[in-house]
Amino acid sequence: MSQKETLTRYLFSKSEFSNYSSDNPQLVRIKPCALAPIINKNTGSLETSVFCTTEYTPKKVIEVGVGYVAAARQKELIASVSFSAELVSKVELRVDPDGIGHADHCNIVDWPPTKQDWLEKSRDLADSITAHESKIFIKQ
Amino acid sequence: MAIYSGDLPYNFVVAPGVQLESPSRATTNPASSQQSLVSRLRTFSFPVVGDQTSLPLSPELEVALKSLEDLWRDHLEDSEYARPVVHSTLVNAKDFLKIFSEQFKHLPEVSAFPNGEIGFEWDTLKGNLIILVDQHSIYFAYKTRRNSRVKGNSPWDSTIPSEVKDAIHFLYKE
Repeated sequence: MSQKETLTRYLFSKSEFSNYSSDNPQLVRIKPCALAPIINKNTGSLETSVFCTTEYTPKKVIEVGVGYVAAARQKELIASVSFSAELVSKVELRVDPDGIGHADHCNIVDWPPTKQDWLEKSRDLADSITAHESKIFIKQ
Repeated sequence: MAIYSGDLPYNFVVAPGVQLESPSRATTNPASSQQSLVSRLRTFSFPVVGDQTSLPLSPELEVALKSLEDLWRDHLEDSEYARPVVHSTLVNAKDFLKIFSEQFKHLPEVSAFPNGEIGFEWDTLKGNLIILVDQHSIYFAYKTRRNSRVKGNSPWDSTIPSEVKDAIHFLYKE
């Protein structure tokens, strides 16, 4: 996958993002739990589900999140965060465009196996996304 | 952060520029969200309390423990997208929070992780400490703004690891 692609992670809990600081409450900070991997029950590998949304309009980002991801999960979509695929490789992770369930579905893979290691890496990725040009949409 | 000025469907808006909570609501009802709760708790000093004493829990700690219960109830999903936070993890997380509050006044932000762990996070201008609690152990990863890092794990035996104590002391050092 090209480093220039845009990835979107859909968020279903308010605990996955927070105000950056009390001094600047309007800047949203993405928290590590928003990017942390889950163990795939079938393969045993650690992966974080994202969508390749390079060609999407902002409206389509939300429409796919609500109409496909939230519908499949049967939960209310709370927010989405879109960021460059380059940020993933900068923390030595990789994007695997598997297209499973949806043509644009990808997984962030190559997570280290131990919890403290992937915990650290998910924080590095979250911090990088917060610090760079990322789009965050939040349900009011 | 890039700003999109067009209309978004389903009542979504662009952040930043969005306060998660209106200031008036945050002032009059600080416990209405976890965010405001944690911000409020950071300003309090806690008395020594805990199950091993006969003292009642402080109201702030009670609210924090209640927020953990709420987090647990909100994360019972068991699917390909999320594993449930099991009750023994909740028990360990509450135990951690009680013991921590006996020693430190700076309570963390709490969150649920996809594999069912509960996360505690402290983020200051000096650095960031994040802890995961599961059914058996705690895992920690700490970094300073100068990128000095410490990480590790320990079986949860109701003892705060020395690395975590050192990190908290550094993060909130005057």
